[in-house]
Amino acid sequence: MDKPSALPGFLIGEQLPAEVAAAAPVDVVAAPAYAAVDPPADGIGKAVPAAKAAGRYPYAADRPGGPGMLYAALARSPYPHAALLNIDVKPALDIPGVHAVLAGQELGVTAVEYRGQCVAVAAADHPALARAALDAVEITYAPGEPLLDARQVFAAARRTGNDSRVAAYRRYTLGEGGDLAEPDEGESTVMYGYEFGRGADPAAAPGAVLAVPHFAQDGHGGLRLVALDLHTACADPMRDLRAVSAALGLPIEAIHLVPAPFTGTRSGDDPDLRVAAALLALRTGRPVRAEGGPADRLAGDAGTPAIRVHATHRVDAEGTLLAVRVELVVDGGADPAGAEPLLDELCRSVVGPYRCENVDIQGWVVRTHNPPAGPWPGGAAMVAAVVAEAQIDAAAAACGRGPLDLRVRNLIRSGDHLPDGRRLAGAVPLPELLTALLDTQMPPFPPGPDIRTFPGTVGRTGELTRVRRGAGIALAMVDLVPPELGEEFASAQVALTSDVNGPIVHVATSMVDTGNGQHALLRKMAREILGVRRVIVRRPANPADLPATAIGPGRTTWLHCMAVQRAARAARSQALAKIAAQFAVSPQLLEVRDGMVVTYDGTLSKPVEEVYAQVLRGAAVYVANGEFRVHGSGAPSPGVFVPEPGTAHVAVAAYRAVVDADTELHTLRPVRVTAAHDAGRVLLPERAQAAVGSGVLTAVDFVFNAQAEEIDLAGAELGGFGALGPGQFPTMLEQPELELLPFAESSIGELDSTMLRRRGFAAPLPLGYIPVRRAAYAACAAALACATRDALEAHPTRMPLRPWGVSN
Amino acid sequence: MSEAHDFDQYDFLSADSSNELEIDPLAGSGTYTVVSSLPSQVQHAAEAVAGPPIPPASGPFATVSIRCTVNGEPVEVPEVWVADSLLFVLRDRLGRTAAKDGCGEGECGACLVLLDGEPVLGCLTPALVAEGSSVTTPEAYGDGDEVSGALAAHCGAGCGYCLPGIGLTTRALLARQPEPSEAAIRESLSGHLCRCLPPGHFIDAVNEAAQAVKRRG
Repeated sequence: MDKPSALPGFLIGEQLPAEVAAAAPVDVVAAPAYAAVDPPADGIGKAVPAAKAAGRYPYAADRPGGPGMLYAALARSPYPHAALLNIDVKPALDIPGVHAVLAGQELGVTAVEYRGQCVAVAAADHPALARAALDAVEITYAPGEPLLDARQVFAAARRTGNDSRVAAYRRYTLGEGGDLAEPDEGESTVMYGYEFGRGADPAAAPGAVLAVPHFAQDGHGGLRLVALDLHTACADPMRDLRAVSAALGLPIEAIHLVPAPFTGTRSGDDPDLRVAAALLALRTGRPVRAEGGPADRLAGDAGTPAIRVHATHRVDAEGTLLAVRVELVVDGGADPAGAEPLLDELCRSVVGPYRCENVDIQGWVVRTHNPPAGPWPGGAAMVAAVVAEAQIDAAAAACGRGPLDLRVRNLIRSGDHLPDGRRLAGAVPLPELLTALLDTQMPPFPPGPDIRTFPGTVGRTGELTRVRRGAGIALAMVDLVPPELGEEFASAQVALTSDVNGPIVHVATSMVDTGNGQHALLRKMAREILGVRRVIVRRPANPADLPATAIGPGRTTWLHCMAVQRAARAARSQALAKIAAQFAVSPQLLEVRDGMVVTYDGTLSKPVEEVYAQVLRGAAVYVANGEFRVHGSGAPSPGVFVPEPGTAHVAVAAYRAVVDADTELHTLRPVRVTAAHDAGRVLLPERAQAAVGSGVLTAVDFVFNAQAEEIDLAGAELGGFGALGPGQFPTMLEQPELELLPFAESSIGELDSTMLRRRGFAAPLPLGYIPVRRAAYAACAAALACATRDALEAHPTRMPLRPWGVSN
Repeated sequence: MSEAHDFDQYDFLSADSSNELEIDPLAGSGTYTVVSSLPSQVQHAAEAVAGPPIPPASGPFATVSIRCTVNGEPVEVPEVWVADSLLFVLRDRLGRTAAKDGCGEGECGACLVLLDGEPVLGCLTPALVAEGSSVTTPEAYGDGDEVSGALAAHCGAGCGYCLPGIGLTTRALLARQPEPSEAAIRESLSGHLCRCLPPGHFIDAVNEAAQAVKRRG
């Protein structure tokens, strides 16, 4: 049913625009196997969750490679900085069962720029053989002196004036800048330096890539490559496709990206794995599977880079924020270009959701020999929230007022200016979220007699009298459309028709369903606008169906929802033209509500079954295309939606965290997290709840996790206990109780021009999974830090927390 | 990249193209299913007859043959490397992919299977210990039982990678404790890392499954 070629089968030529007919999708890539388990259903679906629970959902690692599949392994450099003097792959190739070894130049690697850089790959009949092959590859390194501490690199650059390692610089000022000259009577200044280690994702699933080459006879007795199927989890197919195409030197048409379901909270598979699998598949002519192991997880994963922030806030006696000055340095690792978006976002948002007229923010990215800082979504918002909230708490203490008082007094509102000068537009329902948050109960303390409810769980609490409880409130704001954004667009095609079972809608979208209900969302959108229960969403089947431009994280959902909404409305207008004539209104002014076709003012109505029975007679088809474009600024092409120049749109969240600190055993335990979110519109509650839950889990990981230290600056000491006490990743025993308040639904509808609002159609759109998750991650991490500060009556400035550790 | 693209440069495929997947379903009552031989699933038939020249039958690459029961079906897996994990044999040799390959170091619990009824981590368990044992993978239950249903209903919005393992742990828990407390559920599931959904979803799912099992009697 969900066949890529479903559309042409029933289309009637004259009702189909010529260009659409010409562009009828071609079934180039076989529909992924999970098409069979993705029927229309309510909510997030029934078949997909059932397949997941039964272990039938085909992740990339589960897909059969077919006959002759080889296993890939990656060798990673033990040095952060080294020249490759000599590489001899011969001993590896001599091992029986080893089919290919590529190293150094063949991978485009001439020197090692960071610890864990991939320097050799091997394909063999068995994963252990592939690893043995890599052990046999003789690589002679000439290690150089690595630069691993961004702060030292930055200081040296300032001292010597040699800025060759300073990759980017940003400065934003508002008003008179952060003038911090001698404070007046009653004013207080707080100044702290904050450090952030690299974020560690527990990555229960480190990802897997399957590359399957297809060959055909070339007519001269040989074979030629027809196509390369690449099964991989990817958030942005076009960007990933281009990256692989560039790495392989293959034209983009020759690579068929077959999106695989996501695993864990990753933002896609490790590019190293993709390239390794693809190169080895081309070299050997066989299917190759590359699976990430623990070593790949540490080296190849995109994490937040180490960031240092120096923040100075001045408040008056009433607690009003007078001036903010921030200087920050981002460790961009070996490829600092990837950290520039993060620097931008961090500089723009580090003041937090607070109003301040005098702001001076400067930020730098430096190049070091650490792993490249990837475009991990959420990093900047989290760092900004932690710094902003810590400074507000410190300022409150300095001027003798309550932390909540200061937050309410300085809260940003729609119309206020951000540090980059943009005006905040749309709804910013922070006061409402904060009010809802404060109406909730605190968990009881001391806990009941059950020792399992004690801090740190069983066996990790000494005397209850030595346990201190702290609570902290934090707000977070996530920028949805950054000003430097290039044009992004999403497209959709909606066809309304009928079969023997009644009306049916086919939606063709450029959105990839990665297993978390993306298509369920579009289904719901189309179902709602057209009032038809049976909606089939077709996944992009070939590269031509993918969006031509990459869509940044956090905008995929609402761009696609908007495209489907527009296409569905256009199809509805076509289909309801006759009824509109009967009602003597324009078809655009009809909508479908509660099973009735009604005029916009609700005065005239007709049952939708009756209408569709009439207009869909004779297998009539109404097809419409819709697209939605967004552009950060500048001069976009005609028809592109641009937020009003100089405005910013944000997603917001307010959190309260309660943390117990055992001052005897030196452990911390997050007890409860209360979350209040604006989620735009909530079409699939389970998906929005999952986004919040995932953000909270990641925040707990980051704030309390010892293992994050392991991938802190390479060469730093490994191991050590995290703030939770001796343990590994936080498990269900350590995770806090999550109290999620009903979602506020506002803000993003504002993005859809005023025209629709005038007509009363201003239904806000879902923000999507990533913005909600980023807001949750940011607000939760900041709230946990504030609560820890409250419990310890100290001002920890390092993340992940080491409240009793070496350096605070 | 030149614009005139010559795919012939990728013409690496040689005589190997004649390789066939050597799955040999000798399944019959009381017999063992012999699964493709190692190291490759593409060994030429001649090689297979002559005995595989690789890997060397000693040292770290020594292989043995394993007989065990998987989900009630007797199977024989020839040429298992002594260092192979149970998970690798189940997933790559037997095609039972419901147990997932997660962290590879015993931390995430995605690879959980039952060995003679006891939960073990497939990624850390040598395949050799399965000799003569009965292995149960999540496939044994399909999606027909209460636990699968409850997990699908409450935890379907996550990525789902941890769910098969959590399902097995839940079944083992409910077999021990038909009505587990929240603390018992957390304790029991603490060996599984999920980063998509907070614990509340799993606690609800286990409670619902417990109720459903109880109703069934």
